[in-house]
Amino acid sequence: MADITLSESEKRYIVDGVKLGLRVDGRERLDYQHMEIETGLVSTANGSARLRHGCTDVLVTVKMEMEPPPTHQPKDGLINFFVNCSANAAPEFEGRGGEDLATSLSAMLDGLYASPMSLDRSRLCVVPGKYVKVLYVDVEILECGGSLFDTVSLGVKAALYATRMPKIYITGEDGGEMEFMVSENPQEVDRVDVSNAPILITHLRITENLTIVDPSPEEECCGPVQVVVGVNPKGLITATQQFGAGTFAPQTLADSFKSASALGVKIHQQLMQRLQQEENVPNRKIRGFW
Amino acid sequence: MTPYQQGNKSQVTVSSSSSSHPGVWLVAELEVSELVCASVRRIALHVNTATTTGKLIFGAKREAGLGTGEEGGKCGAYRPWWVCKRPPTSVLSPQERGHGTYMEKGVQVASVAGCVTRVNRLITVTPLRQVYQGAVGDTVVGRITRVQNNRWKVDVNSRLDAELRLSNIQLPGGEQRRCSVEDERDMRALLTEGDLVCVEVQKICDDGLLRLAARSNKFGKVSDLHGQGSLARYITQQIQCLTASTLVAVSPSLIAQDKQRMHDLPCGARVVFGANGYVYITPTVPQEQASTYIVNFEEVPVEVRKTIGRLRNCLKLLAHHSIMISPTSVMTAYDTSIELEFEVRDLLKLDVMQDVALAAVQSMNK
Repeated sequence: MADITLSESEKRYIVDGVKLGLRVDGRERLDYQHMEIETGLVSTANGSARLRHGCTDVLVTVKMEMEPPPTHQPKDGLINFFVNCSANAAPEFEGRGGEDLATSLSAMLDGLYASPMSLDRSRLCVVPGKYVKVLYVDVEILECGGSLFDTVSLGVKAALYATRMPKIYITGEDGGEMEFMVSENPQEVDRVDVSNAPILITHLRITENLTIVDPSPEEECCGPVQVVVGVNPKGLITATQQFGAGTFAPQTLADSFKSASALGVKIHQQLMQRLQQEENVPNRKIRGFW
Repeated sequence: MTPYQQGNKSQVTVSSSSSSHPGVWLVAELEVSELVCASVRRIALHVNTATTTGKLIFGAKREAGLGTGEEGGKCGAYRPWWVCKRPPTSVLSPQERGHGTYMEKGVQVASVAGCVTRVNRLITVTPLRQVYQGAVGDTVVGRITRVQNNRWKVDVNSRLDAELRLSNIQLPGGEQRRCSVEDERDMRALLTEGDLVCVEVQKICDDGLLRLAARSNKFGKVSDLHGQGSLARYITQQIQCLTASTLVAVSPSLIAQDKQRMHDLPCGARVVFGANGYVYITPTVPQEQASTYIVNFEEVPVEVRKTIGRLRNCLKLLAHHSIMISPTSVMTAYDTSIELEFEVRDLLKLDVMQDVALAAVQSMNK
């Protein structure tokens, strides 16, 4: 996404490296970079997470509202994604520059969480037909340095995991109007079940029949076409989308799906492990942006 | 976010600008660190006695401000001069006001964190984190961004894209002739968008635009074989050292001053430390081979790639820990990472990066 041009020799070096199974920074084809994650750093939101992955930096916040449900789905809560590409991430995002990318990101996330298999939205229902919980997920892209889709989806999952919504009790009915009470006890919270929430894995086709994951901006410059695959924790593929101009050979595509599903299971495990570990730290200090 | 308004434990990166101002310490950046104080203090002592940079932790108190270096003073053998946004009044008091300073209530205060330069009574502060300002005679590495009439625009990590004129590159065989219309027409064949060049800063214009030149042989050996060749072949020869290269961008202030910019490191790679913070790494080419081929698109073997990858990651980790980058420091980090038996890709992990950086600083101070 970041706009860089490379010389032919640099491209050649990158592509040849992938062919030999050793990328420029020493990783193999299907190696991910180190990630840093922190949840709960925005105190005003119900849930938040910041994910730093290579040179990509995203901040995700989740806010809950009570709203009447849409008429065709009176028993389901809603989840809305809004992605903002900050001009700090890349100069070309200034003004409306990042809108296309933001739209494709939020559309991808919408698709990913639309299925009841990913997120059970009926659990967000408070009073059927009257009030449901609506989760507003805001994704702020602070720095853009490759594999944005993967980072954003992991950030969203982490933020949803960290989301704490106050418990709501229905106290009674008053002339057809339901009355409810929002718990003020900070210990009494509802959480979002993210055990089935999928993540995205991007495969960049760098040369014929070869794909890599977690490409750096330089590598993204060498291969224009990438396929984004949504994988749930069990390794099931939930969504796919191709970006960029170019083609995939059927075998390459099948291979990248296969490896995405295997990788996805591992990354899910590591993410959940890390999140649980972080949760269990007593009196955890918020590191934030320092 | 003012640095000194942070909580109790802050990490300050300090570097002694030994080359020009012995004993003066600089505050480069503040970040909360998970480093263990004790071990870091030891490093800080080492740093104090040697000429490299290191990290140092001290308690930055809100009221005291950074400038007093309250605990920081204990860490070193002598108390360094802290220069930060708001230094103690004693550091910059009855001086002439230079760049990077301002007067506040009759006291001169640094407006940026950086390196103090004194010339008699004039005192200036050069910021540490800044884009490349340029100095005449610097060897820089740049990337062509545009091809225009008679000139190329080159990205040199500066405020403006630098300018490389067609007349400022050496013509075939060092021959002095005027550039013809054909040369101008074929400019894109010589250098096109994205190409890397290694050039010299010839002039700094009034508006800060850098004018580059590649007129000396230093920037590309012209062998006898290519003496009769066209300009295009000459340029190819010149860029040949950049073939199969990878570029690492670091902050220009981290590049150590050095007369020689191109180094053939003993590990089997040629590294060019551009004064503008662009560092590129290529495999070393045997001399006889260098003179016979035009464009080297030969595959680089895996072993060489590993060396280059390791160098690249070492450069990144040095830059991440604000350690000055010189052939010595890069080679020390490289050797240290091999000694500690880290794989090339391990060097991307933050904890490993820290271990290697600390070990490299220690071994440099021995």
